[in-house]
Amino acid sequence: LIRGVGLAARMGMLGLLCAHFALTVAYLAPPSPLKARVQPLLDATVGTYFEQNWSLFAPSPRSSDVALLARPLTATEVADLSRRGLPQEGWYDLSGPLYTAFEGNRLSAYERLSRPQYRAILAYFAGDPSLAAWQESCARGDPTSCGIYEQRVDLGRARARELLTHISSAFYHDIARPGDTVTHVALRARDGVRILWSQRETSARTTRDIDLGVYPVDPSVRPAGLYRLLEGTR
Amino acid sequence: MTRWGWWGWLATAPRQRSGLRVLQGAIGAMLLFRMALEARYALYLWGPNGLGLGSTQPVLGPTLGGMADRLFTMDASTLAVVVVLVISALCLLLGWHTQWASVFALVAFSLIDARLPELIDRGDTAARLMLFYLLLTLPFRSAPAPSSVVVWIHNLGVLAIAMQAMTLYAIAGLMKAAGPEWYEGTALYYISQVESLSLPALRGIFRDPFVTTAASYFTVLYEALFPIAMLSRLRLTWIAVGVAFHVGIGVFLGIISFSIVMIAIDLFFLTDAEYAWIAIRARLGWTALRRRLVSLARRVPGPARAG
Repeated sequence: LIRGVGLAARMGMLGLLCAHFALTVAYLAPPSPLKARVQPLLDATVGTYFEQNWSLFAPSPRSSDVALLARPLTATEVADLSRRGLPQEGWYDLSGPLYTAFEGNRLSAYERLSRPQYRAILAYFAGDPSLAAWQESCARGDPTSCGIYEQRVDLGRARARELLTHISSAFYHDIARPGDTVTHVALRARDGVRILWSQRETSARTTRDIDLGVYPVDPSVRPAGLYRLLEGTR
Repeated sequence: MTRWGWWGWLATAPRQRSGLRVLQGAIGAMLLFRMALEARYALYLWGPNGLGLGSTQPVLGPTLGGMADRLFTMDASTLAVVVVLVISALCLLLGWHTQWASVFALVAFSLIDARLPELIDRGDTAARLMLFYLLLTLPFRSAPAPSSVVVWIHNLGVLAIAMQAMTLYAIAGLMKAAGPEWYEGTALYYISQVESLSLPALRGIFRDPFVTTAASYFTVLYEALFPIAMLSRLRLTWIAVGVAFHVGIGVFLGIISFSIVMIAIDLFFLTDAEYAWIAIRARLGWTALRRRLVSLARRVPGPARAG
């Protein structure tokens, strides 16, 4: 009897392992009608306790850097926004100096420190790259995929706004001078336009700026201790 | 494989012990590397009123998750999490109390991951999953009774690590195969144009049609075929190529922590007999080298004495 129980326990453990990897593969598989049906189960198991995403530069690799620009605004400038729009002068590049510093020293944290900015910008526009499969399936006309995609984009965007508020406040507290009357920070993404393979010898990199909105300075957010170095990069 | 096939492989003796030790050490090294660079920004990243907005409550529930989240409401407890991670990483690297070290490293690493998930990369995800599966495995020098339950559980841990690694590679390869740039063979050119990642000296190389096409197709084929290679005679070739591939990623893209973990995952697939063979060869090579150096030193004339 003891031998039988031992054997059953061993088989049970092996069965659990197989079930775990069946769920993992289903979680990572491209959208399908079957996957849409079991999505709540996948989210509650692998998605919660063994979250993973292996879209390493896939399906489409990124081909340029996205930089976060910030412009501290006084209460007067905020009041004038509807009439005059965002100022053209006085923008700070929060990402470029991190990229340059990382290029100068690969054994540094600068690239990793730039990730929250980059990921927040991505989430603000289109959600996480892991949603690409749902987006494609939605574009092909599957309403279930559209529902899942839109729900996740909304969640990601709400979180991105919160993160951008923290990033911009941390930045401002770093560079604030006594007597400053800044109440908000305007944010902008500077996206490097992809140079197509066929134009690689003839085109030069251009950029386009996309406004991300105006965020109140949160006085409780801790200074970054990172952007004092950027004083000269305006 | 024994005469009982896969059942015997799982039941009789603990497998991949050297590979597991390499994996433990590499995860410890990766965590230490990360903390050496990031600890000075710990309060900005994870501390109270820092960038971190995440919570462990979706995983741990409101009670336990609430308690875990409270760790990040004070500077001292935030730094304590980092200290626990550093100590457990050091233990993993040096092979001290590796089971407890895996538990503490997993808890501390999961806490900071959940606090600011925007900071992590796929290497961190792989390390977190591997740390969990490492909990099932035996310490390096333990000697369990043959065919005991602990041997079975250890080998299930080994199997879990192998299956996770194969899933990781296969999914990464298949997702690339679905991307037009990978299909057209220009993907590596586009990645090389990301200035924050790629080395300036090597950007020009990927403008060459042969280099970018070969490298793009190689990446897709290597990853997608990894599970098949691990179960075939191509295993050793695939491991050697994988190590070189990830060294290249570390140097070219600068994603060093990711490369450390992936190299260890590749090396995990070497058997204990292969590690023993490598150890013997290394010892013989070292002895021969030492002998040659000694004989060279004897041949060099000493300084002439004056007078």
